Amino acid sequence: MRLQYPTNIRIIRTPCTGRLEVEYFMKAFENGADGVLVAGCEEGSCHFIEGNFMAKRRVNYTRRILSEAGFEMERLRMINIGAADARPFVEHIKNMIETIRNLGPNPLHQAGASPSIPDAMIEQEIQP
Amino acid sequence: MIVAERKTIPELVDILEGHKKILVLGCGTCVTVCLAGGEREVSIISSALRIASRVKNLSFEIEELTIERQCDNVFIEEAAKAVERNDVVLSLGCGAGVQAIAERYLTKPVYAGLNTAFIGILEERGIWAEKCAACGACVLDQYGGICPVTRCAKHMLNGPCGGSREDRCEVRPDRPCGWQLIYQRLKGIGQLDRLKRIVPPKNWAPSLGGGCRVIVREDHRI
Repeated sequence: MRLQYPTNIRIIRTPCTGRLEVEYFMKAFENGADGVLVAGCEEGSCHFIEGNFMAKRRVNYTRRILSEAGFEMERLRMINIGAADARPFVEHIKNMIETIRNLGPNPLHQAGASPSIPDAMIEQEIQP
Repeated sequence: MIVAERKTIPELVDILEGHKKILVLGCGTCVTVCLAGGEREVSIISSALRIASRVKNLSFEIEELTIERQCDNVFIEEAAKAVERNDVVLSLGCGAGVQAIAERYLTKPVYAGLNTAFIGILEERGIWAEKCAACGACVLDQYGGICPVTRCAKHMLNGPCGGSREDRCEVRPDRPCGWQLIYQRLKGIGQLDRLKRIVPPKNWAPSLGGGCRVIVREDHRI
């Protein structure tokens, strides 16, 4: 298909979105991430039955805490997407980038936070 | 176990405003199990406070620590150095934990980061419910192990009130009627005849009346 998506994102692979914890999102923003997009499997098709539903609840909880802390919760978003849905994937990425562009850079980054996500946690995914 | 829930971040910011070096102190016992003040919650609340601090231009410097039990001097000792290093302690323990820390470190402000709610159990994932009011004069033996003081909204010892609909409490329709549960339980264990007795007024003296309750065990005193 040779679809292009913006290059200013980094993909972090997890075995399942159910592996994601509230702390991970908090640390990402503390470390200066401008936005976090959680891409889980479509509802009802989780290999681990309910991993994506767990992720959804954790994302919602994190959004609440971020908002309580005075931080834009729109910087954290979850989508459900099939592994083969390249076209919607690109659309979601573009949409998220647009949202972040409108919000501007992470205010914590401006206040002196340094992005310090260990390189080992980051893997470049093969382009769809 | 003791069940608590976290205060909101704006509430915590309000409490901590004006302080710089803050120790967020978790407790590894009850509040860890009820997901309110364990190691994980210490990490989440600390992150949120750091974010709030930078967004609102406060200057929080936060240290995180979780000890096994805040209501026990033996374990409190483990926090001594960290308490020393910081200006204030935000305790994520229950009310007893907060007070134990405050009593131990006389010159250090200690604030509660949680609202201690009740003594209860995990009913199902993510739902905790009150089971004991610590009234000091247990009547569970008479009611098949279902407590009318906590499970009946009207605390009736000679129930039911007659207001329940289906098996739901009329005061809180989202909860089962405590007396329905008592009836079913007594029926199940063949003790329905207990309901024929009129129970006299309960002795509430060991409850909250008369100030702080103390138990003295002479056999354990030194």
